[in-house]
Amino acid sequence: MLAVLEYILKFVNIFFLLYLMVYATYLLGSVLTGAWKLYYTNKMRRIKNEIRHTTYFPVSVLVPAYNEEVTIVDSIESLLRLDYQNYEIVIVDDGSGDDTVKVLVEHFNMRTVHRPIRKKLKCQEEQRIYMADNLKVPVTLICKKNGGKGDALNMGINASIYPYFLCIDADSMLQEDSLEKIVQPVMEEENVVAVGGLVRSSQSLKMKDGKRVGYQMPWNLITSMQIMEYDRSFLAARILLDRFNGNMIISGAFGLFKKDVVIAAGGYDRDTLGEDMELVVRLHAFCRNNQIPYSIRYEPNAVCWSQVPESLGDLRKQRRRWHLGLFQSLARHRDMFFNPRYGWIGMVSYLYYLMYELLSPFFQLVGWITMFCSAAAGILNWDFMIKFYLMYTLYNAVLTITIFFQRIYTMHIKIGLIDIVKAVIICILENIFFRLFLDFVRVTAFIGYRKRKMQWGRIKRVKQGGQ
Amino acid sequence: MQQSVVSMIVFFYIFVSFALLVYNLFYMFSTDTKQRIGKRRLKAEIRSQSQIILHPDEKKMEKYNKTLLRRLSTAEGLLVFHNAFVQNRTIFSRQMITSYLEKCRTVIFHAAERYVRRPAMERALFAYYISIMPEEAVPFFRRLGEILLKYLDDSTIYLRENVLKALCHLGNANALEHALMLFQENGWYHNSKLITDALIDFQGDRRALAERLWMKKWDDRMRAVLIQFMAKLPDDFSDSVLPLLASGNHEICFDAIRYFSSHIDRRAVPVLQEILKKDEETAIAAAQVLGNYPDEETKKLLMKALKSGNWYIRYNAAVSLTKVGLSRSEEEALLNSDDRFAREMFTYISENRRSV
Repeated sequence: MLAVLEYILKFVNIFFLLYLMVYATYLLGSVLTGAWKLYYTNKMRRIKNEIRHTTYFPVSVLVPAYNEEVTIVDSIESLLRLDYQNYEIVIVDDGSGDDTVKVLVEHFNMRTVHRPIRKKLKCQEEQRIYMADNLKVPVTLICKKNGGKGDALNMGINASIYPYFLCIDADSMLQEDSLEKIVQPVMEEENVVAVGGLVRSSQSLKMKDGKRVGYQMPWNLITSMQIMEYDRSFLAARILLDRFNGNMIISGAFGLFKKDVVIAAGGYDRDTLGEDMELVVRLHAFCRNNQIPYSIRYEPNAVCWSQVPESLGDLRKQRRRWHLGLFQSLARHRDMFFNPRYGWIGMVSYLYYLMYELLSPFFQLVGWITMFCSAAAGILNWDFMIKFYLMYTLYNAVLTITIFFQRIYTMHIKIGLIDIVKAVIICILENIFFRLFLDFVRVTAFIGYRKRKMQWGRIKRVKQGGQ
Repeated sequence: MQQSVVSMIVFFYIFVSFALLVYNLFYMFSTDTKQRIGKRRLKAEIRSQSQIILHPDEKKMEKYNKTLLRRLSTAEGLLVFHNAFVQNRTIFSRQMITSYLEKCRTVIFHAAERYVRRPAMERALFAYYISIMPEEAVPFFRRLGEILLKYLDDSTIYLRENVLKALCHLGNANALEHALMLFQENGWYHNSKLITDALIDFQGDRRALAERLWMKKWDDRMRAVLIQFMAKLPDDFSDSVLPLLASGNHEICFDAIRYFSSHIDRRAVPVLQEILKKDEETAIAAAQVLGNYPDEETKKLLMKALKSGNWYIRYNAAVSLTKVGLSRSEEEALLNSDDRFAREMFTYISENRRSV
């Protein structure tokens, strides 16, 4: 019996070590690719290798909103300041219980219109429609019954008039050149059906009169740890996956889509928590199944500033939602798993998201517990276990700080010495404590899943720039 | 044994990650130094350029041209030259700047030849530099077009875009036609808007260019681009575009219909009305354009189109109906129509028009 137990412990240990090694290799690959891509793009821009134009194609910017009275006006104001010629803004209020509609109507002096909306995608009925005249671009506000974020986005797609739409969160702000940058891949390549942009924490911005004047590492540990995590996990990893058209996520906070393909694929799913990921996975499946040549691109130079949670409670809610969304998307498209028909998506991306995103917290939990038990049983020595943990953490921390510096340099961001010191300390803390916390949240994400699965994700909002 | 292997692997990974970090830091700091050196080089280049602009004697020029060729032969040098030139353009008169470029002509041609063998990224930079050359100097460099065509072998989209812009800027119709042929023959994707806008910036007789290009054999995509280009010109090409209205080829037909939105020609009306009657996808564009051709038959057809099952046809028909001018009774009839969709659409467009 003891021999069997020892055998199992050894097997789990070896599996876990291999699992970590594969992840370490993936991480190294993503940081190397990310660093190379950022360097290369920076050089190309410097020596005029880019598609720059005075006017591009028109874009509908969709802003789904639910109880966003605190930030919505700032967000729309930032959208009106974009360096872009031809676009419209469509705000969809998903039955907010607060004064979201009132602040918008008053601030932008909107009038009621009786606009018929073509319902190509299923969504809740509209109740009132407002329009603002005399602004830089047409701004439409649609008030509808509550139906969830996917439902609100479907309404936005139905009401949009242009062939491409950009969806952004109501608490997000776009950098002035973001729209221009995110449409560039569509100008460069024929079959682009979606482009994801880089989402960064707006708490790291220094703002004055609603304008960005600098960059800082916030003092709030939870916020700053997310900044480091975003660089490593989102920036570098998505650049790597982009190399083989393997991105399965475009953040709901900032993504451009080709409308007719999205409509043909059925639009946003209204019954999932991760409607952004689900749509991208479905686009892959739809295009592959119908043999439509396509690519889904990631453009790190298109930047969107979004508020990240500032408290552990909000962070837990957000990550729980993400994890359940991931589970729903992977479960719904399980036929992709290791299916050669889906190419790299089925053979690599799906496997990665399954093993290193969805199941990772379970593997980590079981793996570390097993190593601990093995050390207690004398199968592993304590010295090795502690050394291994510390070295693995150090490795992750070094890669995190590397990609952080790479981004700072290539995006021409100026930061002070204090911010550098903060970044170094935070990348170590992030790898020791923050990851453990996130693993805990993800392991417990399924508790209460059925009861709360269709709610909007809510985090406490503050005025942009902390005003 | 197993544990020591694992330790070795982890040490290796840590070593690689540290090496990466050190390289990054080194690169960051060395870039600062490079920038400082770059600034010094820029100052020196501004000085040497301005000396030649002010005192262009033969001896100095000979020596300067040798240095200039060396400078232009590297991407960094070309950037420095260009940045210095941009600054000097704000200081000296157009005439002095043009004369300076004329004197550098041979060197620039030599450099252009050298760039044929350079990586695509650097060729794109040289083409970019040509595409923003002062207009007054363009006649001296028109023949660069033939060299720029050689850049298109093994090219990237950025290079193709810069070459296209440069050829249009040079006003070299012959090279431009060749370049577009190469685009077509090689199946290189280039967004139609990018090509149209480049053609609009052609420095020369654009009407002659349009006529010249129209005579060639193009695929549907390039033909559609040419119609878009013609639509943006003030000249009349109706005789050429009219036969394509009824071609039945959607890709071309859409652009041909839009052409007649900006170039009014009543000969197009019967064809546009036929397209609207068919209620197919192209009817969307026809419903929009017919607003510019008011007559009783058009009005009748637009009123019918307002009841189309296609949302866009209804929308464009409603907008066009407000343009063609309806009598009070006709307007009342539409506002009280039995067809809910037609009524809603017309009400919305009328309301919008009143508020604007």
